Amino acid sequence: MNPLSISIRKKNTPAGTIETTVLLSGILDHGGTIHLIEELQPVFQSEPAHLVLDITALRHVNADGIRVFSKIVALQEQHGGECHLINLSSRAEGARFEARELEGGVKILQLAGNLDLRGTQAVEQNVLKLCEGYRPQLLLDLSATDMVVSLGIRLLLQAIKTASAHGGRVLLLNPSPAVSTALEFSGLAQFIARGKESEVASGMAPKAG
Amino acid sequence: MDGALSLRIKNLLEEIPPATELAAQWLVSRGVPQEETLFARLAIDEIVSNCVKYGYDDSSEHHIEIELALADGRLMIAITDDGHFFNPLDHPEPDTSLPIEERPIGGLGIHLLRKMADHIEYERTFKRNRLRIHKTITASSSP
Repeated sequence: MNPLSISIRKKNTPAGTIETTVLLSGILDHGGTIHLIEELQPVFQSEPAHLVLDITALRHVNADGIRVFSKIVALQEQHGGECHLINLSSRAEGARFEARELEGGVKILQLAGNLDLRGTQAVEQNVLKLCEGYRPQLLLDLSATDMVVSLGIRLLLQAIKTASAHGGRVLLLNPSPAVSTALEFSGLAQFIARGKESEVASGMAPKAG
Repeated sequence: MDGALSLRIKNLLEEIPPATELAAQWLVSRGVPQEETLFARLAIDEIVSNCVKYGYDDSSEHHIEIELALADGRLMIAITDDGHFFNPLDHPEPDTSLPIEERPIGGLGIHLLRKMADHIEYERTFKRNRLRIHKTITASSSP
């Protein structure tokens, strides 16, 4: 008996497309991944479809099983469809940021994505580079960040220290409750800016004279 | 909401993000609220990356087991590896009240988990490290 049980249901959506739900239960190991890909071949070869992978009833997934999700997402995209399973694709960018400069030389860095292992690695060099200028005044907007791990805290701490060593400073704006908690437990609460972006930025800008 | 999932990954950093995402997806599918799902992501990211980076000094392939269990309104995350003996609970708490210039960079991972978890247990059996992290799923945030 195959340790992975696969149940496929199809339905027409009001938009006229086909939604295929694949319910996986049991163990997704090497054999399970082969079985799964075989079962999904007709889905890939049919009209572009919306594919939903329901993993609620899985009990064990090994490294092959984890990787097969990325493969399914890629195959589904190749055939013009969509796969609904949160981003397990190895091509995911992690985090990114956009920088813009306000009057008075204050830079706003708008971070998008989590400061987890992948997200931190994706942005750290560029963030730190911005902290190395002459008296850098940086406002890091965390409103689009759900979580921060210790590597991310380490990056923030390094950014704060680097800017300070160059005569500037870094403040953190709009953290979510979960990010605020992590910042407080890490002793960085004092760097959370209170107030609106424009007010905080105007308070940071070096005064003339 | 009750149930269990185990994930087995190789000791490679690139295996961590998909495993973390899959664990989070499974918890969400079981109705676990965002607060505890984010906590699980944090715990897996912190402990497994530490194990991959510092747990081994050979180039052989090793496997790390990540288990998630939901029962009686509680989440338990267990991470088991065959790396060097390492009890993260033995490490002293960092002094987060030091002035920023004197603060060491790093050493905050287990500190964050200790602060956020209800309870953490470590055991070393058959040359394997096993860390179990417990967290109550708060009634107010339950779906």
